[in-house]
Amino acid sequence: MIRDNNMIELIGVTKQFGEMTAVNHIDLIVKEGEFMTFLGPSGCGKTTTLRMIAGFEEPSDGKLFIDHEDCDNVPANLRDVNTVFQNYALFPHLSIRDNIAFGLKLKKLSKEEIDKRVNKMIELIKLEEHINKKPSQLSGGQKQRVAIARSLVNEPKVLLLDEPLGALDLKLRKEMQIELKHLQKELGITFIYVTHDQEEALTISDRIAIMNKGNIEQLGTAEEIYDTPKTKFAANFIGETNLLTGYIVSQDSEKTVVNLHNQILTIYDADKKYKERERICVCVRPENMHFVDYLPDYSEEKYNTITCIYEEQIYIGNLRRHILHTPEGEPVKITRCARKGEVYNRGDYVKVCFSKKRCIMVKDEEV
Amino acid sequence: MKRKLGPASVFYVLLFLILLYAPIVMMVAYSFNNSELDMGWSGFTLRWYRELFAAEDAKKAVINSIIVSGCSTVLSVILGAFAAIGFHKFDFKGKDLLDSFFYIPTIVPAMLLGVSLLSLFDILHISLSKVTIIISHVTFCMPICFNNIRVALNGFDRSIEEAAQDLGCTQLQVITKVLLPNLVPAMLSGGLLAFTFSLEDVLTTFFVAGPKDTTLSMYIFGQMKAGMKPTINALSTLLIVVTVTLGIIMQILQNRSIAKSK
Ligand SMILES: Nc1ncnc2c1ncn2[C@@H]1O[C@H](COP(=O)(O)OP(=O)(O)OP(=O)(O)O)[C@@H](O)[C@H]1O
Ligand SMILES: [Mg+2]
Repeated sequence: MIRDNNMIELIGVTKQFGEMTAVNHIDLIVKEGEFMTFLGPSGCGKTTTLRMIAGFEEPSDGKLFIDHEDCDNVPANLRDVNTVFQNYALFPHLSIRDNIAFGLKLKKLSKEEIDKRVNKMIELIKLEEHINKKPSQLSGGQKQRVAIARSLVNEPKVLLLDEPLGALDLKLRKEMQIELKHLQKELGITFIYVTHDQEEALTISDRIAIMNKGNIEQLGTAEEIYDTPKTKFAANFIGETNLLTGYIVSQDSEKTVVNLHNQILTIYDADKKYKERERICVCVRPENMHFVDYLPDYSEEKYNTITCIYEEQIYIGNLRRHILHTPEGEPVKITRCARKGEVYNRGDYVKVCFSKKRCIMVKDEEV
Repeated sequence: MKRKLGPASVFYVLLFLILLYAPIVMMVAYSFNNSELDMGWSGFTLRWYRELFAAEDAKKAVINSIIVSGCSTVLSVILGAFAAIGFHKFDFKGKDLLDSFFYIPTIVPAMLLGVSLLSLFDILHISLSKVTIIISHVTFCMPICFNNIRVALNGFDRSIEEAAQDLGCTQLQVITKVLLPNLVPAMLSGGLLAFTFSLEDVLTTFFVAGPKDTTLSMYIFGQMKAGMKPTINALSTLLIVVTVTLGIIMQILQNRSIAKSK
């Protein structure tokens, strides 16, 4: 057998609930020690995928391996995988200490060993003064920490977390994100994390799987997905983006020519092959979109130029977001440093441009 | 918004309370009344209680009642818990139908239940004894426990069971280590309710009791036929004290389990 460091392998995994396909033929490899995030809108199959890995749900089709072991017919209690549930799911009748020790007691470890590991964990999550309380006496953030400790104390091969921070307020959420990331690096345990918050995904993950309607739309690091989204859905879901619809005029080995409502653009992106006249979206991040008037090194050689109609500007902290639209009514956003002094009035016709190298194309499809 | 009650409403509430509680208060008072007849107050006495405790048949009735109600309560809680957990854990055909069947004994008139049980015992050639009383009481006490535990289970978060499994519990361990400990309050309150129902039942018991198995409520009923005696007031007062105490304990337990699940 080949020893690679694949911790989780999904091969063509499918889950059907009656007629409805919740997870559609997913292939995925999660490496040992990796922080993998499933990101996607509600109902796209994130929880279902996680539950199949945990063993609460059986795949309708496909194969699932945990550390190279086939998980067919292995019940949840025998899988070396632990789950942190969205609603914590702490045992209401047990104290915090007994909650955390639950898994170790089932494994029949010696009392000293249990005490040692539980104490270490309690120290790690900083809940020393609460160990004799019942879960109902803790705050949401504290419960969350207990839930994480209760799983981690077993030192599983993989920890599954289903929107573990969903119920926390923004500030605590940010704190916990960083704590989780540190914890994961420190313990070297593989994490699979579910969220529908793209910012959270970008902050904590090594790699992100963008899911939509039971499929993985794109798999990659945060930068990869941000810079080179593969589909319109991925482009839209991660970060803000301008999507300008047009069709392919011609394509050669290094550049693509696109017709955008009768403006001809050249794009130095020929990774994906398109047919002539195929409908596409040109995808430009707001920070890569510029006003021609305020771009010193502007040249027709380097930049694609389009004319837009100015609407308004919005301050967001140290940034200023300008909202425009094309004559065809597609919205265009430009993010600029707030101190720069562009002044336009509503209804002005404004030339905007973007580098021929700093944009990519995705297929135009319903999302 | 809570508003203050007007005088008319206060009067109404008072009237209501008087109608509800006057008979009980009267009975309790008369159990301490130093007069053979139910007329007028002629001084405080504990005579009737002393007489009651001296009466052999009353004592026997109390012991019978404790045995019968105790056994039927324990059996009902055990059977009810098994049934409720089975309902919670498994899906099967006819579950809803079976569910409603469980409630029928609680709404069938007690007399009909008694008659039908009597004919059943007759057909099966089972002679009447304490055992037949216990079996009969279980038929209407078990659904009470079942219902109580069922409600508690419905409010129980399924992901807690999954968490237990996730941490290494087998299906059986999920029940013993997580479900049962969390069901204790519901089992106790269901048991107390069952105990009170069993204790006060006359009608069903009347049909299925053997000749020597007079229970407390049957005894009171029998004494009444011979005319109202002050000892009965004393006995009834004691019975009230017991049931009210049980009721209060039950309320406390229920409130606690509600507070817990929040
Ligand atoms: N037990 C079930 N029976 C039937 N359908 C189900 C079941 N569980 C999930 N589904 C369906 O499968 C689809 C995917 O559900 P899933 O819970 O995986 O979504 P999700 O990505 O976790 O969404 P969310 O972000 O809202 O939690 C949904 O359309 C849901 O209705
Ligand atoms: Mg979910």
